[in-house]
Amino acid sequence: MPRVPGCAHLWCWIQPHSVTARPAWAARSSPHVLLRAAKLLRSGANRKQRVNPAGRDNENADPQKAASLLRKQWSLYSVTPLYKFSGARLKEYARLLGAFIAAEKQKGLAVEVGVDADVKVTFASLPELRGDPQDQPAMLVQLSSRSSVSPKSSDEKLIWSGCFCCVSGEDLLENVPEDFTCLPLFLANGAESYTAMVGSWFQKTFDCHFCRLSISPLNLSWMAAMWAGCSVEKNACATELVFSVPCLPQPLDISYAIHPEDAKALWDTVQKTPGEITQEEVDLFMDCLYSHFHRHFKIHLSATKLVKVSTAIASAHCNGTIKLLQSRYLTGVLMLLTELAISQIQ
Amino acid sequence: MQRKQSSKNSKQPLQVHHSNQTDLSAWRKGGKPDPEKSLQNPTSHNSQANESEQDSFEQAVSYFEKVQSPVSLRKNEVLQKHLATVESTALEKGLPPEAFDVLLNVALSGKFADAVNTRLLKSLIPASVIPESSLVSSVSWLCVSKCSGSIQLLFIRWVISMFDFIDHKDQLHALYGFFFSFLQDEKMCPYVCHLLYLLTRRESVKPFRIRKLLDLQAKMGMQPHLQALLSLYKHFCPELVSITLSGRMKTYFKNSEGPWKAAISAIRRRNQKKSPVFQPLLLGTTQHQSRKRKWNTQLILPASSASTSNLADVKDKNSDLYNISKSFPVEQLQTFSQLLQNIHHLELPSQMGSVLTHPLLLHYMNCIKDESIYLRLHYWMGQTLQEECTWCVVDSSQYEEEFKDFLEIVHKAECFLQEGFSSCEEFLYRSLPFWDGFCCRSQVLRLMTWIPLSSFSEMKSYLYGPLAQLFFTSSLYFKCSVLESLKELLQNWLNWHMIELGSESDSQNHSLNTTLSGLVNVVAELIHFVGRISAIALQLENNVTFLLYFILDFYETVCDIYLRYNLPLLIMPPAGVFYPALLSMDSVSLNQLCYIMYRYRTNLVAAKENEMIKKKVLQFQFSSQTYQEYNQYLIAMVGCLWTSNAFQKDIHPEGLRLDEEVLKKTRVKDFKNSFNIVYHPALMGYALLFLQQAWPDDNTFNFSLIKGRKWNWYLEYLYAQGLKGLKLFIESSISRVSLVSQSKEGNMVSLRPERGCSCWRCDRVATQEEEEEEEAAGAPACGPGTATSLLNHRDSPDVARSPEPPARRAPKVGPAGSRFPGIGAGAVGRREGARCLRPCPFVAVYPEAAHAPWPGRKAFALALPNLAAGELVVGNHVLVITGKTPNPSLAAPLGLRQVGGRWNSSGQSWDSAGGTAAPLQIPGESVQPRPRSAPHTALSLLPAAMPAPAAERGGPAARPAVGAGRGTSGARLGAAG
Repeated sequence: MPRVPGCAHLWCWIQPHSVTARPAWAARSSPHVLLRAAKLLRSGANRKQRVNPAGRDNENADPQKAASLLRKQWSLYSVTPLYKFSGARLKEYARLLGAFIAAEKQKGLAVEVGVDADVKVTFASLPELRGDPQDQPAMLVQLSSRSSVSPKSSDEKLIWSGCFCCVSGEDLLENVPEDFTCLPLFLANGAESYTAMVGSWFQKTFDCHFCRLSISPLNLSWMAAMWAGCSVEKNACATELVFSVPCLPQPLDISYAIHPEDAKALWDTVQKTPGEITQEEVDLFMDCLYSHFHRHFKIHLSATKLVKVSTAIASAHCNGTIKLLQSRYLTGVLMLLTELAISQIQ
Repeated sequence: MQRKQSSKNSKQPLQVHHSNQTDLSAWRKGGKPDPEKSLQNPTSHNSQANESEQDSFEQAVSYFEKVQSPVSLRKNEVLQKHLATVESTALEKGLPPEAFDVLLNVALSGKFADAVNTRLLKSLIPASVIPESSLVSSVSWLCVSKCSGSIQLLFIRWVISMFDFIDHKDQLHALYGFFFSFLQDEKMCPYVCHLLYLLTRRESVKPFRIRKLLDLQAKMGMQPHLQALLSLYKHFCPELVSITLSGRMKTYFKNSEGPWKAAISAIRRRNQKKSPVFQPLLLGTTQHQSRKRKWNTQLILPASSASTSNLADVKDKNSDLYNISKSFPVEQLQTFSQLLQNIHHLELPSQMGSVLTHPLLLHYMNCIKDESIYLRLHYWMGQTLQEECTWCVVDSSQYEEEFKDFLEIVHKAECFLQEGFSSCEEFLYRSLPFWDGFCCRSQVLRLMTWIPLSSFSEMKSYLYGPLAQLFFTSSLYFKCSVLESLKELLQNWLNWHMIELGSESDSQNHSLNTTLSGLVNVVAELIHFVGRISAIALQLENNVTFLLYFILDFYETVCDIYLRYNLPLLIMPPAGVFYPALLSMDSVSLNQLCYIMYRYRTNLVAAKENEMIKKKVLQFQFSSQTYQEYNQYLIAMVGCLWTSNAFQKDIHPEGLRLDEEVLKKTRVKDFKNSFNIVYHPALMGYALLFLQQAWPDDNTFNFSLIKGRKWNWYLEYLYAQGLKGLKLFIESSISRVSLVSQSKEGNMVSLRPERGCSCWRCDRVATQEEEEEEEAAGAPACGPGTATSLLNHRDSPDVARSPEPPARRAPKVGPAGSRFPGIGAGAVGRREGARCLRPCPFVAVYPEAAHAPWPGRKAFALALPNLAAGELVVGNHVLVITGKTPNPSLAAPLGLRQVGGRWNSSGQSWDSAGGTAAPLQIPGESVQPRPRSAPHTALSLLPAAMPAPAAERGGPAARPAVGAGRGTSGARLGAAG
């Protein structure tokens, strides 16, 4: 993909005076502050978000399972509430889904439920992945292939995994009867064909509906701003924003990389009240970046479309894929994505 | 699948019948006995032949019943004869239920050769039903295997073909295991699978059977019949077996109907009413998607399939065996009676989306109040609509047809349920701003008609805004279809309101906690919206009749809201709609407008009456503005169509009122009557035809001939041409009191009946505020031939009930304003002004009393010619009378006194009210109605209204008198007196 020469790894110096007169260090958020996303679609331009330390500290969480979510490219889906789903019957679901996948793979041949197939299905509950106690515990679905050569050997290869979760989704929970289980966010990693099988099985079994969750440029800019404000250890990778230039015969992407400390410094000057983010602040943050870029390259980034944000916390693409990088901010990012998923299904 | 085909075939009886005959004769020719005779007979049967045939058939049956030893067919002529009898009877009218036991026994016991057995089996065609018991005994024959394999096979095929004619199936279900054991036989396996497919119920699916089938699958490979049976098993018990069928397969079972196909369709035709409904069981896997799309973006209506809710019971299935039979699986639900029988334990499908195409389940949905059903449907539909919306989602335009079909299905379901889905509402609000107004137009507009009625205040921005933009920029046809949809939307809302009213007693209110006022506001908002866009659209489209039709159609609903839907709301069309309709070139529009005005009147009068009767301050009353608007329109209409003074009398600010000078400049000769029912462009064609009929020899087309009695004839002619609206309007709103009939009543004065001299009144519905101070416009005598007088609706009950002459009642009415506490300050001021000038009695006429003999009016009519040179103050009208001196004896009963050259009804001088106007001199003999010159709104703010306009009147009053509609002038009336 062509890049604007010389700006692929631009390390910016942000000038605080261009934004406000506030001292840059006045409003440093504590590392425990988790990001709380806005009701993005509903509240329009004047949205204002409290960044409250709502999420529980997930220091105690099982690092193994939580780690399975990190450093993977996840496709995002929104899922309507599952009807008559029971967390107590995960094993049974695993058997049924296993048989379903086996039958799907060999079309036309019937498969008895419970017989070992070459794809093994496991359902696991991830109770640590939630924001509030009211949230449903997250559920991890994993498909692993048994090697056909030696069926009894224990080396199973993970071929697909998916995670249903709901982090601080009380907005959705409020009006839903008890027959329904709200796990509005679904992340899938692996071959699309498996996603299709698992998805259609869930759709048939729990009368729910899967829908790709894409992230609008507006939400991406929120992510850029919020994640810029998170403190990370040194030597973290650069904050990178990718812009796509519209209306060109050939796609042209512009990558804009900033040193994370600079990004944080900028954000800290922009943010007026610690623990609260407003749309104006986000706009201001982005405008500062745009004007800086324009000063150097004479390119108006405001006329382009933000397609990707990648920081040390996570990286998100507008086509609805995300990569989670920091276990500390895992629930925070998932909370934001849960909000997006809920706004899509409501 | 096989059954599916058969049901399809049965839908084309004619064709099948044809092929049948050839089929039958073909296999009959194979048989030795000549059936031709028996075939040719049937049409010419008489009763005797019937009887003899019946006898021979009974003989044949008893022969088969008694026959012991095996007999060869060739040598035995008796057998040949009886066999032929059975065959011909079967073909002609089918076999009676009793015969099956005997014949099946014979065929399966192996007494005869296979040829005979085959012929017997092939002729086993029921006249009505097949008794189940005969089948049970034949299965027992099957198990002892006395007969050959081919006969067994034929028998199984026969059972499959005749399955729907078996009267009961319970015992047959009990034999499920026997049939299942026949699966071993390779030849029979396909047919047995088919039979099992027909017989399988959820309780017949057992793990050991599944294992057996899987073994067979392993042995024989992928066999379509096994796949079908297994998929049915999976359907019932997804927790035991899983299978995915590819969509390519079309038929899963071999055709076993062959030999009986023709006969079966013949029976079906014969007892059409009795024959069971053929509905193939759903395999649920046959949706074949040829195109490649992402898995979750395919628009598939889920097939109704077993719910997985029973998964929960899997573990305690053994302990709770009865539970299984309790719930009724949805795939067995095929008839309405089944629904009724099992409604209390019906199991809903696993995916609620499937109910959309399942009318029985829609019935079910309608009658149960389970929130989760709607919620499941809501989630699914909301997402599907959002994802599939062809104009919101990129790259989905190629699937427009599909989306159209989907919207169609959703709309049908909404119509069925008579209720809108909230997900559709959301979808419309979300997607309308992006809609091009073209894609899936009719579907989207139809969905719009089912937007639920709620006090949702944001409807304006979500619906009206985007819709108006599209409306103004799109074609005429789009405009019309939008108006049509909005009319349906309004009707749906009103119907919903009616139903709510009916079920008000239910403590459980509808989820929409709409108050009546909120509801009125929402409905009013819609009507105002339509009014606005209609007025603009008429401008844009040059008042085209087509558009006008749709607009007036909308108002046909609006004008009847109060009476038909019991909602206290009446909104008049805006002037931008009313006047184009009134001056339309098309009689259809005019007729429609007349009808609408008639209905408005009926509704307003009813509303007034209700107010009077209840004698309490209702929560909702029509504002006086509605009455005023109605009156203004009515005056304009009567002025146009009837009294031929449209340009003078119209008091609507946006009306037709034109200054004399301007009219003169047009150089149109008879502009006054150019919009009456003779000259109106919409009606002139009728007038022309009428002239041709009335004066066939006259080619001059002298329209002025239509007057007097001819006028009446012409009216009758118009009514006969189908202008019913005009008829209703004229008969209701212009009350025509013939002086002839009055004189017959013998009241007070006898008037010489003169040709065409009859009184006409334009009945208005008066507002509360107006009551004491009548508007000028309607009241004045419109000219000699026609006298429109004003109605005071408010007073009328008093007038109507009172035996006293209204003249004496009147003073009481004046101060009665205090009866109405809810009237604003401006109104009170007006009332005070009115009190100074007590209303003239003949203004106070109740519409219902119009036909009652009322001396005052006649006296008025009489008095007029005799009054002279002065002004007659009637309410707030001033009649300028010039000429003769008044006859005091006639003026007296009216309470008229000349005060300084003016006639004041109450005898009070104008001066007392502060009026100082001098008497006006009008040249020539005329009686002139004096409409108030000041605009209506301004007047309503004037406390002492009378004197001020009177003072200002100098200019307008100088105008020449307006003649009456039919060429009769004031002078003529004077002459009449």
